[in-house]
Amino acid sequence: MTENKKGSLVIVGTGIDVAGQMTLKAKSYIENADIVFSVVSGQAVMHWLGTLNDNVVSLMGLYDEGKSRVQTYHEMIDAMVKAVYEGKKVVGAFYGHPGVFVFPTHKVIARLKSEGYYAHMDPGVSAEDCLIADLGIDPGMTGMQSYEATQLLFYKHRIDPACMLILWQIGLTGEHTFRTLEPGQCKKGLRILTNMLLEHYPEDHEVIMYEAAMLPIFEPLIDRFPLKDLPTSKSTMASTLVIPSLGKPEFDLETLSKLGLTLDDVLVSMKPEFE
Amino acid sequence: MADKLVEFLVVLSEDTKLADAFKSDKKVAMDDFGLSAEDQQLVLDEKYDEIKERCGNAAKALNIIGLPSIE
Repeated sequence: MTENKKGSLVIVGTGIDVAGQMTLKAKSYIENADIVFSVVSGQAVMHWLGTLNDNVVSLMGLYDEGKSRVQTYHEMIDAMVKAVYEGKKVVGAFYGHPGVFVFPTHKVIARLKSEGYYAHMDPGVSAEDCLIADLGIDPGMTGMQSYEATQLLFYKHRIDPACMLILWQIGLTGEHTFRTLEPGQCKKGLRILTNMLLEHYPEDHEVIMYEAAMLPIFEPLIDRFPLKDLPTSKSTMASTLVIPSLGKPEFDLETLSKLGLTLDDVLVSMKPEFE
Repeated sequence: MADKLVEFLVVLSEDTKLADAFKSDKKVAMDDFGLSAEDQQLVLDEKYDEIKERCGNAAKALNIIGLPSIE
């Protein structure tokens, strides 16, 4: 499909904090848009966006207590699509990375592209980026598995304890209605998740409850405790559980042999840089 | 007119000079920015819930999170 229609859409991320994590490119897109639709973390970010563009419309008002979030997401899509149909240069500014755990952004881009409009997403700073920086954990060292906590329960995923495991939305574990936003209502899911994890990790394995700092006067919340204490731990909607690796797995000697390598070859090449 | 505390937080998140000054001496940095005594006290007393309320509830934005499988 050719991209020759007049209206266009660019989706950008505003980062996790107020303004400092927005990319230069995202800022420029916002400054040059005919209209900016925002789904961001409150008045501070709205104020910042308002300094960049006079025509910022918050979509946060589409949320309503008891209303399905799925319905809200579709209304967000409709709002952005309508403006593009009107021939406008549209920007959607979303909290964090606009493509991570965000339903409407991918959908609206796919829809507009299929209709011949220009639409694309620019990456932003995500909670995962903040987590890696704040905790000082490099996922490249052990590998990383990352799941939305409820999806880990709903599907038969395979946990590899040699990798770092990140579980998002831990405060809503087991929640499936898209209506509940109270972490306290999800204790049953947390208990079941803990039992599942205890099949792979010792009960005293240290885990980390993490929450990125959303305002520059805050520090990130980092709470370390044994896995067995997870069911009674405190979490919010923004909490993420990090389960560090139990250590690297055994070398795969068969594959090393196919590569013409011995274990000594690999060990020598790994020293001393990675120690 | 924008809330001065909100404006302060916006600038603090992107201006490393102000961030360094704030780290070094919160009171002086807030004085220099022109924050009212009441707002300064909120920050110094770490009344984070009140500050969050002023700046909008960040958790509300997290409503946007959704499972990719909800088509």
